[in-house]
Amino acid sequence: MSDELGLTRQTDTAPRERIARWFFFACASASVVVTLGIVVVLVLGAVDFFRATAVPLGSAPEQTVPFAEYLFGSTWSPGGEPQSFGLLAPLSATIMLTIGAALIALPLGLATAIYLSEYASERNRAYLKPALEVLAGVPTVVYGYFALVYITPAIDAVLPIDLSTFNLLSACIVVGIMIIPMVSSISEDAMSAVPDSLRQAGYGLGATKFDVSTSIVVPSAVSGIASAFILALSRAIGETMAVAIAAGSRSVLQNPLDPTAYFGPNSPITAQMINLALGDISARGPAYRAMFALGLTLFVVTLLMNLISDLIAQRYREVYR
Amino acid sequence: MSDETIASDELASTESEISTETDPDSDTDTDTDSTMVNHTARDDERATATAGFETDESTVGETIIESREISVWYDDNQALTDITMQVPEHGVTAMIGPSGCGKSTFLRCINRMNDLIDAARVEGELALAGKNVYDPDVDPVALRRRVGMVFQKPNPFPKSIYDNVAYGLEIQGVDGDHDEIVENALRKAALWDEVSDRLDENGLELSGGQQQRLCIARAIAADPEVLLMDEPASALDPVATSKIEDLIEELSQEYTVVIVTHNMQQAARISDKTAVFLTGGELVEFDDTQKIFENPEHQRVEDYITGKFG
Amino acid sequence: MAAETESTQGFGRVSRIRGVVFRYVLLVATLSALVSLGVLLTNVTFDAIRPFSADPGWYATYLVAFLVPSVLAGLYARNQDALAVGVEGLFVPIAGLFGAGTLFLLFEAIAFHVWFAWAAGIAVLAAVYFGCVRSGLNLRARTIAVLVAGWIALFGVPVPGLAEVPVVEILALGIPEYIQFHVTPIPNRYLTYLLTLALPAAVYVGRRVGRIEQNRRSGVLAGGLVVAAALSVVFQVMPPGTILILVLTVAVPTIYYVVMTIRHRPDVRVGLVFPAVIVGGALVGHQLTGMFGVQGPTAWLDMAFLTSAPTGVPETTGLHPALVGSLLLMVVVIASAFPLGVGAAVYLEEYAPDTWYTRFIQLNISNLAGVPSVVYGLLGLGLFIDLGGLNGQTVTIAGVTITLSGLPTGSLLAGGLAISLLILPIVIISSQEAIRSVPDSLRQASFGMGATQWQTVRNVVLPRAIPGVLTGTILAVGRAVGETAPLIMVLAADFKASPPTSLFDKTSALPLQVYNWAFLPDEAFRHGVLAAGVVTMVVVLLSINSIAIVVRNKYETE
Repeated sequence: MSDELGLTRQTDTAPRERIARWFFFACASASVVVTLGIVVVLVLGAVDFFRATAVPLGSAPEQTVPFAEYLFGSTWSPGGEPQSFGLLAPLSATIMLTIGAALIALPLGLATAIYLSEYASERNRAYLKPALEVLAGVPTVVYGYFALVYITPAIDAVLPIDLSTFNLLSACIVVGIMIIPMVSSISEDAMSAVPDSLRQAGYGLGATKFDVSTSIVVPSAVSGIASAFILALSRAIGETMAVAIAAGSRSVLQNPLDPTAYFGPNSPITAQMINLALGDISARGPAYRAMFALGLTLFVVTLLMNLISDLIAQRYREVYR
Repeated sequence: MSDETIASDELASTESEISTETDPDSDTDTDTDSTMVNHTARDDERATATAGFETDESTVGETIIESREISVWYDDNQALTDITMQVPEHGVTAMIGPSGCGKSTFLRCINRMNDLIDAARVEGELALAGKNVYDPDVDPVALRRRVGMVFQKPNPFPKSIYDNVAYGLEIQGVDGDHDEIVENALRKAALWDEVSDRLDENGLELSGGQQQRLCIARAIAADPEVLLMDEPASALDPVATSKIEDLIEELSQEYTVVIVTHNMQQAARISDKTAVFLTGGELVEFDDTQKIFENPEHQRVEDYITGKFG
Repeated sequence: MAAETESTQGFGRVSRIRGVVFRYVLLVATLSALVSLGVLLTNVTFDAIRPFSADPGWYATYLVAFLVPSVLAGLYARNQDALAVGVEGLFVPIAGLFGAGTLFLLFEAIAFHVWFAWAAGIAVLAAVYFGCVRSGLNLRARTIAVLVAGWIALFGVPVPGLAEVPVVEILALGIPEYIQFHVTPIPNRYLTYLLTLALPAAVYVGRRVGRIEQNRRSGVLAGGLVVAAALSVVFQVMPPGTILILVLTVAVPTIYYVVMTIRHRPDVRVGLVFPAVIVGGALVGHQLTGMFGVQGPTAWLDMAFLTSAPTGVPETTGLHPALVGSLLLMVVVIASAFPLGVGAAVYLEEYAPDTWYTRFIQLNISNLAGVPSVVYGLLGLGLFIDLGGLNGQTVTIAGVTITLSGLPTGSLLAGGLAISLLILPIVIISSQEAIRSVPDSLRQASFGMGATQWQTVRNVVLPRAIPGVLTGTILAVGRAVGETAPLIMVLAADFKASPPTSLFDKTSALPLQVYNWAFLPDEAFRHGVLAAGVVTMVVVLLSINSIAIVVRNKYETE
């Protein structure tokens, strides 16, 4: 049977098509390679760090740290004699930073989102949204600088507390400000996704705008808002430079619920990694490998939080189908 | 018209521009008798509106809603032209007509939901139980607590069934035990038997027809004077529709029901009085349902009823 | 039966106090962070520029010569509805100045003779490519020809013995190397820029003018004017190469904009008064303050700061190498993240089947976006520099022994790649959104005409999605400029006295320099030098964001 119209000519498998397809596929798979790379590098380094050994610390050049001591140790002094690598110290600082930043960012971010979504006029939104984007765009070192040079002295002058030059309180404030745009923009998306017919039903029942915003819109968007909160917290956990500048380089185990603990320096996991990198690197000693252990801890925690946030966001996307 | 966005802040109750044809101050005086004058000469059954609200007469009779030359514009388009009609208490008053003739717009005038649309402008007067709802001293939020509204597409809140029905009570700060009121409302909405064992379940889990009945229960829980329904069954299947229709007939014994519907047969079935809106946002005829469908006075109405157009 | 508790007067009132209070609380909350940032930025700017150290006379002079006329001109333009044009007209030379600054930094890192050599090589490659296209060879032959010729042209073929034979040795060395080491004389700096920058610019301007005016002669005239301007700078006092760049980036676009506005937009050309007065007023003010001898503010942030290398002394220190380092880092970042990111986005939106692998990639990308920047730094350290512990190991393949070596620590390439991987997920996600926003009806129309998938992507989807893609990439680059942690982890330099000279050279960067200064105890550093550095960073960032906004707006109105 003759094919006069040339209908059987294959265009999909023409070389150009195949090259294009494979090129794009390779690009997309590169992201998988990146993740693999991260995991491999971190795991290799961490395993190196943990290889259990009978050799006690401080007595042999190739020192390693038992896993239990890392996980539950409460002193962190990589440069001290004897060296110790207890995770709990920087972990407590991370928790404190997260709590402090959350106390600022979550309420303010949610309030901003409600205002933008329910109350602000079009014109106001046109000004406020780009302004908030600027807030998110300022480099983190600049925030650290602000904390060190302006906020700490200001707090010191105004409040009757004894604040050290490097302290967690200022760090919490700037990190909180830094992540407000994240909370507000994701929450606002969630609230805008609430169908207008629900608001109409509320108004029809004689609800005021306050009633509709607080008892209809926010509860209906709660999964998206929760997802926003978790993502913002994950960002706070991973924040490095601002707190490296503002909160010093020492890590001590402190009680996250004790307000006075925030007045002194305490360096979270991220800043400790920076600290190690700036210090004893070429010796390739345990300090070097400790970075990878910390990095692996960080990676796992933020990965889990992002997954949880994804799951929650998925849930809210289904409710309005 | 069904895609209206709420843009204005209803904080100020004086946001809608009102230009009454009479002296603007007349309705803000403290008079107990609002003197509403009959304008349409056609309807001889109409009683003069009285001040005050007659109780315990469950017959279709006294006028509870009276509109006087209500006109509505969306920007420069006129959607309603000088609507004057009296809706009697109890019973079902249906508004029929082709799409876009302003039926829903008029419905939304009654509880001032049009205030929420920036582009809408209302002129004229509309009295509910003797008080012009467009008076400057009327608080639209307070007004909407006296009027219940059910929408075309069921829109229960993503809360439990109980919370849905009790929402009106919550926002009005009604004290005491809501359980009884909720149960009553669900019974009146013919939903109690189906959901009494799962009041904690999310309202969105119900079927379409059940959701609409939930919305009806929600609307009547706060004990409104009037129940406004905007094509309540148009999004439902025939079985659910007939249940809603039965429900409406029952409810009309206790509440005044004003219903907008596309479905002429539905109007013929369940309503006591029918208003026919035709193109231009005009109210062409308003009379007993039987008269409208069997022997209308206007040729246009007859053409519409018999399907010659629209 | 409804309740009868209502008076017949009305329906009662509902208290709105809660709502009003709530609304204002929300507004205050929204503004609090913005106001705080504003206060902080003001503090920093004041610390960096120190406006209070200027003579009052300085302010008075500029007030009279500059501020008052500018405000009046602005009001005048506003009444004529031409203010937008005026503002636009002001931004053209300002953007030109920024462009000139960027080019200066770039040409510091890339010596002009290297630039010339490579430009020549690429020109030959382009000629080969167009020749192949014209010749009508099929795709396979074309690709091979271009690759082979291109390789020979750029890198040469190391055939032993060939390098000694004159002339033919080009083939052995490749054009860039041949020109750099065997050709004398080569054009000097001015001539290099003339040939490689001014001539293409003249051609571009000429063609554009010719198209707009629909008159070939006008185009030739415009192109000729550009060349004339380029040639005339030889008679100036400053080094001609420098002036040439300034002419091309500032004078040519400004004159082009002014002429075009006057000719084609008569109703709003009045607005050009505004920028003219501003520029004129600034110049007059400058002359007058010089004449009167009044002092301007002794700012920490001045040209010396931007052009000096860091020293240990606050008064003489600068962040020039850091500026160059950041610029070159961004070049590396864009070169690697942009193609990879857009390619991945194209795949995910256009080609990917709905399999588990696709979902996995998508999930993976959104998780990578949340990984902290230090971890990317560790990746750079562990993978690119350490090669996962294999650095320095020897491997024998087919009898050939190779020593594995990772990238040098702190090198431009290592840092650049680490940052590039950091912003890759952002680029992918925003490109995906841009591609997704292309209406499906366009694709359907294309397929309906029998186009293949690649043809559709190339001709329909990508052109439409480019503005969004560009905006997203530019914003990601803005983020990349401020990233410090990856650089610290790959051990980039803290105090480097000179900019990097190759991809493998140790580099510094703006945020890194700021970080290092932050820990110096000297008060002058903390409140002076550091402030100047911070203001520089903020200005860079705002400029990048403005470019993104301009791109977004320009394409939105089209």
